Amino acid sequence: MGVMRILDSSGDTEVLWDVSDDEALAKAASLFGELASEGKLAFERNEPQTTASRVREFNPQADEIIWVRPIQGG
Amino acid sequence: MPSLQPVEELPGRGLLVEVVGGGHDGELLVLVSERRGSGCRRAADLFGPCEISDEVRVTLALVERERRGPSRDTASGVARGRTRPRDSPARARTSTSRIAARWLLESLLDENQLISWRDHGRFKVPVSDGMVELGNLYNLRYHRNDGREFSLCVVPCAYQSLPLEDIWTNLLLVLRSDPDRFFRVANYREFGSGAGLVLGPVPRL
Repeated sequence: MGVMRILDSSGDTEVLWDVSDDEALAKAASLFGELASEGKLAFERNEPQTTASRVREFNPQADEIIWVRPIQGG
Repeated sequence: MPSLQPVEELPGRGLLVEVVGGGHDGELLVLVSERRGSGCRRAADLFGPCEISDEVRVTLALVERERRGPSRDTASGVARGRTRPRDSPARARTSTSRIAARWLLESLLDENQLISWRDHGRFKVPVSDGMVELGNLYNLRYHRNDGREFSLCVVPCAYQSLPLEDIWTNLLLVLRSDPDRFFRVANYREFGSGAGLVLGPVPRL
């Protein structure tokens, strides 16, 4: 079971998928492409790591993908 | 006597519950199994001191949810916001979003960062030529190894809509993975220079 956490005003919105669920997998993969095209940045983390690595392609085997926003000078 | 009403399973985080009755009616609590160490913590612990009855405290201590346990909720492919399933006053939504954001941030911190964050509300992130301290919005401290110190201003796009803890998560992940970009977009000023903010890139060693 994998989860995407998309940072937003709710804390984060979650999208879960199971590699054995083709429909959920396709939706997750589609969403990954959509968020990437918006310029958001994806970081993959696998248990029990505290660190997350930048990724540019959807990995169905990932435990967790965290989506953050691009940064800018304040 | 107050009781605990389950509100929402927070997958991988624990169980969000609400105190029903008593002097803390409506207070949100989260029963968590921490990444490091065991035990349950009150959501209130995340946001400051709050007294609850011993009975509730004992109940909290008895309930522990394993991260990513077999009872994990599955909402395959469906985006779910973190709002309460029942009435959703703004106060509850705010608490829930900050709980979620804080959990995520803390899960990304190492031991020393976590201690510093919980004690002081800020933590340091090592970079190749020094240290950046996150925790003070618009005034991130960059301690360079040569002794010079800078104040940086970097934020996520549209950061006003994010809980504060998510801003730190956002900056932490980008800083760890792409420090060059972080220092390139940052506006900065050097301490002691008397100058105002300058557009990046920040001078590095």
